Amino acid sequence: MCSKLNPDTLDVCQFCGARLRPLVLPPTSALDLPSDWKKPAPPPAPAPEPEPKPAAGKEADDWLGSLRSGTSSFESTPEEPAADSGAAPSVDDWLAKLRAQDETQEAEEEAPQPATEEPAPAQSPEGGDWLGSLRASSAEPDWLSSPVESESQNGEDVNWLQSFGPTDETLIGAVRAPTQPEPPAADSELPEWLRPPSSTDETLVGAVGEPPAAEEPPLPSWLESPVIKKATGPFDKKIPTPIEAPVEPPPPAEPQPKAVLGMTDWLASAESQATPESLDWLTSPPPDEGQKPVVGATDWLQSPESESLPRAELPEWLKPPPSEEGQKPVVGVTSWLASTESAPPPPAPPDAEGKAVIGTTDWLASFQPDSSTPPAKKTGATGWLSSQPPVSTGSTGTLKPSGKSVLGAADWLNSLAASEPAPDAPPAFDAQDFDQAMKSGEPDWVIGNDEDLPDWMKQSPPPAEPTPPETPSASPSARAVVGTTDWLKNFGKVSDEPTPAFDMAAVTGELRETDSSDLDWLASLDKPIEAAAPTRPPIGPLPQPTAAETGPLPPGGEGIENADLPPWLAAMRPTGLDITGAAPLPEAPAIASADLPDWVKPPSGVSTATSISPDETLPGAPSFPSAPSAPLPSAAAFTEAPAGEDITQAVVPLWLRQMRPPDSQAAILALEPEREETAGPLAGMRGILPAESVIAVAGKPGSAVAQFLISDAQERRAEMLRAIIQEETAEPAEIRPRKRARIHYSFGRLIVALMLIAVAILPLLPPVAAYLPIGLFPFPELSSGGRPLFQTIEALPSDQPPLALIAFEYEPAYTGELNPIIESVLAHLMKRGARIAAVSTYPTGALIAQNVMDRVAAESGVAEGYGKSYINLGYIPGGATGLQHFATAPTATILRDFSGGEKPFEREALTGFTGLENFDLIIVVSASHDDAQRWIGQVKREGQPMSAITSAAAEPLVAPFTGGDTPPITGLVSGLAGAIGYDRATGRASESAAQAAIRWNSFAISLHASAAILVGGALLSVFALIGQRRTAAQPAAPLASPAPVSPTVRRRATKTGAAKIARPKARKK
Amino acid sequence: MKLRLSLAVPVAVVSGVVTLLAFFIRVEPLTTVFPVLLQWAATLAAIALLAGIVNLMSVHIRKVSAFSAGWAYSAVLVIAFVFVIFMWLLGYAAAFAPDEPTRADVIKLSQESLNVAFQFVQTPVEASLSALLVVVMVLAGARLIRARRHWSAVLFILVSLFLLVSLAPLGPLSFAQGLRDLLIQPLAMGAARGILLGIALGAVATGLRVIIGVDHPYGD
Repeated sequence: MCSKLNPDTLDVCQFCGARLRPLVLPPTSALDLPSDWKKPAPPPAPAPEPEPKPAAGKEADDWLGSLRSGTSSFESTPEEPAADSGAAPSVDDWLAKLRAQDETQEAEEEAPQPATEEPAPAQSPEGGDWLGSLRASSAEPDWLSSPVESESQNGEDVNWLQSFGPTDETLIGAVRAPTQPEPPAADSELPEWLRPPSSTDETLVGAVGEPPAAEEPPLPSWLESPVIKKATGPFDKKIPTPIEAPVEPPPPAEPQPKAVLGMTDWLASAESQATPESLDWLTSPPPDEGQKPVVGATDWLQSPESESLPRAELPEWLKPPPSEEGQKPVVGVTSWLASTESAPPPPAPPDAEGKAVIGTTDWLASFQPDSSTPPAKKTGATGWLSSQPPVSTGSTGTLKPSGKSVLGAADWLNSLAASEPAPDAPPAFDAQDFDQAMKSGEPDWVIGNDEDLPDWMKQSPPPAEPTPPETPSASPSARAVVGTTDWLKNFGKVSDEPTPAFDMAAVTGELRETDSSDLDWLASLDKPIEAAAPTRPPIGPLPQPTAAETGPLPPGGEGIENADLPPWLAAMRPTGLDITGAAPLPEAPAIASADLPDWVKPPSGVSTATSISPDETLPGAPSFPSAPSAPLPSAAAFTEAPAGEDITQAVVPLWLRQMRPPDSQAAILALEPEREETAGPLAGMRGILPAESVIAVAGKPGSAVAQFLISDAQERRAEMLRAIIQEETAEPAEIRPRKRARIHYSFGRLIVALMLIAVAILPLLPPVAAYLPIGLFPFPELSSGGRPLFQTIEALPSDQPPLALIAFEYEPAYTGELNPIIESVLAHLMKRGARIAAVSTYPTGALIAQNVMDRVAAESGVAEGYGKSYINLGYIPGGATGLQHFATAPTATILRDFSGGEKPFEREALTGFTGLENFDLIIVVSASHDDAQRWIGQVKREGQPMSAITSAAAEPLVAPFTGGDTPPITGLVSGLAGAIGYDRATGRASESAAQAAIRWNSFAISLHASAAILVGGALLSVFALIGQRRTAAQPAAPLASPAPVSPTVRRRATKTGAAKIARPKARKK
Repeated sequence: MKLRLSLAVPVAVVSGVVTLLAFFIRVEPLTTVFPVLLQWAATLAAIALLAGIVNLMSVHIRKVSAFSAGWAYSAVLVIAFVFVIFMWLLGYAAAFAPDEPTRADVIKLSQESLNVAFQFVQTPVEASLSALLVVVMVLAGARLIRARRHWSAVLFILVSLFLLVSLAPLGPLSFAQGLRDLLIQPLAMGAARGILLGIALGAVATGLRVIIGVDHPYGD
């Protein structure tokens, strides 16, 4: 829970109280298990003779039962464990322990629930409840504690492996002979299925159906190891290869090794039962006398070096390299794993007992207890482990193997074995040695010869404590403890010895001397980095910064000595950080060099890397902005650890800590190592990081914020914005009353209009007219277009009054221009005695016609001649359609005249009128060319003259109708000039003519004034353009200051009271 | 709407085709139908004018009654309309005068009122509007170069000056009048003829589109 190191002997963490060792299940008898789950009660006594293998059909079902019954050949007699334990009291077969325990439990369960248990089949006489056997045992079964306890009594560390059940009984997966119930042994705490098969009960139930071999086949050589050899007999026996001929089973009378716990029938030793040839390679020779059956081993895994196992011919890939003289042959290893140590002599052939060790490896076989060793209490250690001789520590604290080959181990592991030749007999697993090896922390398999090992593995850590003296039961030769380490030896043991604190200093001291290329950074933590550009993070105290570099400290901060930072970390640190005053960091506890494993220790004679100063930067490292300088934490902060802590607390550099907001720092709760958690699922535990240290504790945000970097442009904009806001708030809104809406007009238009009015009116005034020179503007002559009309009228027949039709196709707006002309023409017609009929397609044209004809008639002396001399036909609706209709059926179109008189075509003025062909002349008076064109298109008949009187604006568009060979328009008179010329041609001396002549000067002057205005305007435009070009050509003056952000906003009150924003007037062009 | 359009189109097409053919082909059915169609058109035009007048009056009367923006102008219009209509009807009502002098006086009154309204109100008003046009055009000519800095603007102004001067030339510049007839007349007449041809062609195309039913100026 708290990730702190604890001694191996503890079951509960001393800091947080978490459990370090798992709890062991209660015995099966305490559980309410189904009856079929329960193991059948073991037989009272093992059968002396091995029973034949049961039928194949039943073998499949009873292989577990046979395991429980302990009829396997791997099982040893109940007395054997005692003897074995006496022979090797230090190390017990943990599997055998389990088996023994199981037998004990089964015996206990027989009495209370004999009916619930299934009757043990013939093939599985034991039928014990393995779970019950477990249940019957204590919370910590004996197989888990017995060897340890025995050793603890001797003052040694408990071999946790020894505590795994009875040493001579437990074999995982072992198949028991169905007909041989295993007698309960003194150390039979193990359940049946965990017990090693006895040599007489070796079966291969579940296999091809043949009885197992009497003799277990030998284990492969590569599986042989001192550790494995410590197991019971089956493991020591040679396991033949699949291609090998099966090993002959031992005599039936011989005590059979215990069944291998956990083995299947087909994996059972062939020593006790007939082993099929095809499975001979799986069988292992029976264990040697005094040897305990190997738990969890297979024959083919058996070391070939076991004296009881003939060397099996392994496949090439399993064969060890040819070993040199004196070297241990290693089976199943590669050359680089081959040990350089002196190898023990090859194992002797199986002994008379023919104990086979099925399923064991050499290294497991090496765990068989030595006969010379006192029998260890079966506290649960595995048999194969207990069979190994005890490991003795050497001068350097390294675990030395027993001199036997380590099956499955590397050569360097074998090299760790004792230099002296190994004894002939495979050394039994010595729990005491193993414990010693564990204590020394230098297992053989871990530590090898420095010469052979890689550099990172050469160093052996310093032992945590002095090497305890060897027990008398321990073998003089150091035995390799395969698969164990120093810390393992203390596993399961509750030692009274004080647990040494983790000496970080020792570790760092060791590391400083390390020459490991990968560990220099560890060593350099405690020393300043001397190199200019070290590549590894240093270890050690950081250099103290100078006073100039330090600055104000955050509240609550304490100075921290400079620590040697790695160059890469120092380069990242902002300069000027004040690290002084930061809280001292706890130093790591010192660790004795002896406690550290060799592979952690730096080689001697290697200088450690030096640390760099905080100010130094690596070449090419980025430069960071300056920060308040602070001293770096001291080395003690990095190396010292609080009392009672085994590991060094993580150290945050002061410069990094000072970057944290000060208020948030205050919100952090005190992290006391012994602070007990009071809430949550971790209540009651100590050393827990408080979850609400920073998150839940509210605090003000830090005032010391980072410095904002503002550019000049941003600052200007900010100032501008501030000025705008101040301007808006400072100046009150100016509200002015709304003024009347003014009529906006152009003065130019006014001036021009006044001028034109003046020049048009003044000449009409007599005083002004008198001063005008005569002939200033000479009267015009009859135009070229007016002459044809004149001639046409002159050519009208005189015998009958001609009939003329005049169309008044203009609005009152053009009366000033057209009336003088039409009056002249009408006067000429009336002078000629012609009858005039007027018509119009304009509603007002008829009225205009009426007025003009009346005036002219009065002038001509025919005022009473309406209806006689002239008639007004009125208005013709429909535009062009009406004209077409009028041209087609005039009498049907016009029913009344303009004055309301009925039947106008029957009036004297239109006597003999039958149609438009009766008209001698048609004159169209229009202000636009459309009317003339319409009359030309709708009314004009061939051979009927038609003339036009138009305004000066329509003359260009009507003039084309006067050209050609047969022009549609015979004469064209336009404007005041045409009228004056026609009057001069006709000699009209009337008031209108006089008025027309008077208006001529005004008209001429107006024309010339207009021309003058045009010229003046043009000249002014030219001058303005020239001035603009000159202004544009001049260089632009530089802007002194930027334009104001916003002009003054002035508001005006509207009629309704709402304020309007006055906007600056746009400059007019 | 679709039914109305579906009937209007064929009627318009048939009428247009008949009228066009009757204008060029003098055959008896066409010569008989043609005047009838023209009379119907003339009558419908008169009725449309009357309907327009009624609509105009109704709009202005509604504006006056609602006192909406510009109701004063609408009121003047309505008053003038009523007065004129009254005076015209008064002339027709003189026929129901008991005696001749009265009828003569009524008729005289009616005619003089209408004449006064026309001579002293409508004619000067419209003439004044035309006179303002002169002022606007003169100012536009004076600003032409400023608005459009192009040689065409300068040419326009020069031609305008020549025409203005030659229309009523001064004594010593009397020859300008003959020069005007010599230079301007052919140029203007040629351009005018081109415009007239374009107008005529456009009118023909528009008429054909209406005859074939492509355009529906009489409805949507």
